[in-house]
Amino acid sequence: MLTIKDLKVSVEEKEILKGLSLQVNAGEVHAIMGPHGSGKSTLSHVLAGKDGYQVNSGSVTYKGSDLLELETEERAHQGIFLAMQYPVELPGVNNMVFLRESYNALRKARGEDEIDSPAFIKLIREKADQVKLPAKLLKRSVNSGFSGGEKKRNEILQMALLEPSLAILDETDSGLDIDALRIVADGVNQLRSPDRAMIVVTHYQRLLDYIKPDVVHVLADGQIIKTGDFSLVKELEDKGYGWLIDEEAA
Amino acid sequence: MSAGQNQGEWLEEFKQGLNQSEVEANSSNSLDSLRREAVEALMSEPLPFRKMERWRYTPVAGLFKLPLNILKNQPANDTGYEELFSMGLDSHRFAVINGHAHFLGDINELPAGVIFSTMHDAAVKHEALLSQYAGKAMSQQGTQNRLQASLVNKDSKLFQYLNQSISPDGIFIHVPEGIKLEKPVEVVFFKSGNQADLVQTHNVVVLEKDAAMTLHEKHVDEEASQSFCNNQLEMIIGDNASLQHYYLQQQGSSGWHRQGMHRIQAEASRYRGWYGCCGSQWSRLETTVIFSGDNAESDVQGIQLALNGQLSDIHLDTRHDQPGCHSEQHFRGLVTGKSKIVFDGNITVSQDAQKTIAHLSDNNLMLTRNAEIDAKPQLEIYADDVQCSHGTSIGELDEQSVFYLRSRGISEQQARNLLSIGFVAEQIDKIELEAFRQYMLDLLEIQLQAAQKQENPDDGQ
Amino acid sequence: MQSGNSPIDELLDAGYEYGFVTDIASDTFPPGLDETTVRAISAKKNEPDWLLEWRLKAFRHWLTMEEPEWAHINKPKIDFQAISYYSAPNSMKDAPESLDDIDPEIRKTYDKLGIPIEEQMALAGIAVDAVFDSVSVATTFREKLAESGVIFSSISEAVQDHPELVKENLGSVVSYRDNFFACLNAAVFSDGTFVYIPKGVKCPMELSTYFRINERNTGQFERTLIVAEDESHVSYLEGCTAPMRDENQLHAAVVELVAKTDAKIKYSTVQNWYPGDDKGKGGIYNFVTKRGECRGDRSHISWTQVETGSAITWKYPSCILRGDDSVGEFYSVAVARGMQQADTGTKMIHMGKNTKSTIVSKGISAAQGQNAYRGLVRITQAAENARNHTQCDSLLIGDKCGAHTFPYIENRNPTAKLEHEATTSKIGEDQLFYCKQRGLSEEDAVSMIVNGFCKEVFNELPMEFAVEAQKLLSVTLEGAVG
Repeated sequence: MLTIKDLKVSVEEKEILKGLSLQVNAGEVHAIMGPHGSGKSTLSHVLAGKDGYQVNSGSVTYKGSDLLELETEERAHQGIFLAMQYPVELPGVNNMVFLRESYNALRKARGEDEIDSPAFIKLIREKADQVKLPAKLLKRSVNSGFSGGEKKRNEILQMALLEPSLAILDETDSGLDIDALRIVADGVNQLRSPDRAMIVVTHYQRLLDYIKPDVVHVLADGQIIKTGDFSLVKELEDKGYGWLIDEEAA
Repeated sequence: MSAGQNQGEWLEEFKQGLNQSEVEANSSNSLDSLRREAVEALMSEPLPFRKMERWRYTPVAGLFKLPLNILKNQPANDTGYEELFSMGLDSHRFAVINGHAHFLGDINELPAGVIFSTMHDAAVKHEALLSQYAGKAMSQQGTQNRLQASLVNKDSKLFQYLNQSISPDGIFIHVPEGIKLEKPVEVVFFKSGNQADLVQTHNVVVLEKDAAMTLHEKHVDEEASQSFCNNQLEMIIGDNASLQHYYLQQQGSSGWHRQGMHRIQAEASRYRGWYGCCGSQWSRLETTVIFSGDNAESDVQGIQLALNGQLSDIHLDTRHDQPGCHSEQHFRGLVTGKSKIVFDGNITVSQDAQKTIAHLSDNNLMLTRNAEIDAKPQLEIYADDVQCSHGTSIGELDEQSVFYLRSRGISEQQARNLLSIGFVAEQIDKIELEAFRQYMLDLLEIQLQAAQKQENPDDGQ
Repeated sequence: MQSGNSPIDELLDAGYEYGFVTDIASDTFPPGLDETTVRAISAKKNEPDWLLEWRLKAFRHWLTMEEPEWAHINKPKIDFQAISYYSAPNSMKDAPESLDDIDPEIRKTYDKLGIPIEEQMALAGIAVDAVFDSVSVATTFREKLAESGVIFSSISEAVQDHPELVKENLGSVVSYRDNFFACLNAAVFSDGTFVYIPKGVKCPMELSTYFRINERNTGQFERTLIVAEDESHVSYLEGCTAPMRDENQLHAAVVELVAKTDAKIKYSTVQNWYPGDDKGKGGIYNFVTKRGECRGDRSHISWTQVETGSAITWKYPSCILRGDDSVGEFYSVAVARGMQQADTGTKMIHMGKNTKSTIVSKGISAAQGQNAYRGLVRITQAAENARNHTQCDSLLIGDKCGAHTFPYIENRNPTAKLEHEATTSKIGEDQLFYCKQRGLSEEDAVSMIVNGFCKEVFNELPMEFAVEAQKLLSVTLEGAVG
């Protein structure tokens, strides 16, 4: 589904990703772990098409075509979803309206009819129940005045609603207490399916305990330095990142 | 002829005196040329009046009717100044008595290259330096913003010209590159006697690159008098230099006080000011800030007390012309009795000043009937990537809180006192100089009690 | 000739460019203003002596006044002698012949707003035989209004039919001496609307619906007077989301509202006059005096405005809160883009006890637009327990525009509580990215964020109009970002 080859990316002249390669197939859940500053968020942002990142070389192929050619919203239309580390507040923009606009934009891009309000309300209630997001948050402005946990749940709700082909979760676990973490993980697990891939970017292993990824990568200094199965998570938990980085240097 | 017998005529008399005076036409001295320009400008400058936007809320006609003595003030004798420094700070000290400046310390104890001088001495001894800086901050003053520029009636710079036309004495401080003064510089402006005098000073403080100092300025008088003190203070802060500044105006309740405070800040410089506007029957503080380099910071906090028939006026003008500068301006006001607070805070951000951060707040407590508060917080913004806000509030004491204190056995009057003091004290708590913080808390309590006595003379007797 | 370069001439030139052919019709006065003009206007309308006298007093006073220059706007001097002060209402002689004669930009806007062709033609002032079913609809409305005793007519008609009501109230809120433009209006007002709601009557419909389909060019010196007797309610809506054709550059309207005991008046405006082209050429000068007096206890006046048009907007819908417990509200969205300049805000004068005012102002500046909020909140000595809350927010789109806030806060009563807050923001890149990542186009994202910014104001508009206003805002700001 997604093939990244030797990707080099810089931000303001500084190279962050230094030749990253990654292969993600449908149905797989990949975890990308790594210390702070290793380039995890840069990778998420580049895949979603955020401005301010300069791709110097390498390629990203998604569903057989060049992802980097597409605008941010076109990538969204093609099924890429980024759950953000810091979901943005949109004062005055009603959450329900936002979700409907977004949902309909994707339907329209797929050549489907827009859904009407009553049908949408029914749908969004179901989804909100699914991720245990209090219905009252649907009536408020997008993320405005939401707690950290509520913001993240709102992201998971959007993911459940938009049913992406490739979901990227960027440090979705940061700032969550254990209950919120479980809700987020449950949401993610419910969405696992053979035709959907996920990339879970995180610094800590605790989210992965609930999600149980198929493949685990360690990202350090802009490159993937180790790939393994779930046991790698355990190893990292015990030993930290230091031994890997040292090993790499040696 | 003494002005005392001719009410309303001191300004005319002052101007006539200038015409006949001895400003040397050919002097190349920079102060003299500033002075020549001011003399000329003064002659045609209009008197401030209500239809001028910047004088909308500040009646000023009474000032020109004062029985002022405009003749040169007598320098007081040279002793007994030390008791003016009642805060007990370990400081470098200047006493400015009736407009005449004196440095009370030993110049030899200062770090090499630091100049502490009077303006009059500096005009002779440090002429080159002075001509480089004097008038610099003043000449660029004022955010003559588009709003004001478009007004039919322009502003009046009468008081600036009045000051400049006689090149008054004052203090001159020059801190060379890289020098950080450890002890604060304490300046007491003192008016002696009970004669109604016109007292003027011009003060210049220059910090070169990477220099740092603390300036503590206090304005007091000996006895009640209808004097008019008209001061100018210029501050020129170099690259990465840092100035901490305290200003306290606590002149007696029949005095008139105006201070122009003009500041230029270069790249990455820092200024922290705390202004206490507490005294005089009529006072006006006009500050202007100009950033000449980027990433400079200015943080001004203060209080405004108008407690018994006083008028307290603050005009703040902060002009962001350079990118990345940060200004904070936050004031609290307390008004009681037949008094008035005027607060005019203006932030201008020009098109090039992206990434500006500027916040202004002005919160006021109004305790009695007959008092008045007029506030004009203004933003004028021509750049988009900025964070700017202002907030103003006016209110009375929270009755819930009064009730709470009374339910704990405190008398209503005392409860109101405590809460009023608390409101202002939150601002006083921002003073870093411990001795000064305590001094301000005491002053606040004394002034508030005095005001209450005046309002309710029968209470407690 | 001195008047050769006057803005009016320039506008006439612009008019030709857009095909607004201006024939001087026989029932249009030649340009110029003196006492004879004022007398002639009054005579044309067959006005009673008291009204002529009032106009003349205003005119004589106007001669002593100077054009104000304090607002945050730049404009050339207006040549008041170059304006024609009377043209017969509903004159179709100078109208364009077909939609092809209309400024293509305006037509594009019509299309984007989804306005039907017939209505477009009506808006453009093209003579069409049947403007939908307006006659029958209007008749139904009129019957319904008459049943409840509501008077709703042109002010000229009201002068003839209800002289005592007009005489009692005209100029009672905005005196003829009030300001330069209001004074000029008093001298030469062309026509306008009169609304009278009798005691205890809740007006059975939004006066907008009727008004919108029947509106004719009432001229540049419009005068509106609304009187709400005790315990009556009325909601009035003026303007239209679609840009309307108008050959007059200067608009100096006056609106007076009188709310008596327990009465409530809600006055909504959508203003979308021609703003001029990208270089600032042409465009309407909109200098309006709007003021309501809460004369009775517990009366309530609410102003809501969406100002997207005009080259220059200069208006401060105000409330005089004279009655105890009276309430004044001002909700405003003002857009300045292109070369537009908006200087708008309100005055809340608290005189009665327990009076309350709310101000919510949302200014949007884009391209080289200059948007200023100017407001006064005055608490007089007698206004016990007055409350005011003011929120002024500015949104900047692009780095060539300006957003300014000039509040004046005057308090003379210790029991008053006033709060004023102002913020400035831009549309954040993070916000745009977030919306785009969820599949929205940049334009949809901008429009969503801007509408969110304005929500508190749109909430105050009558329902169907709020939807139109949102659409208008999106169309107005199209292409402003990026």
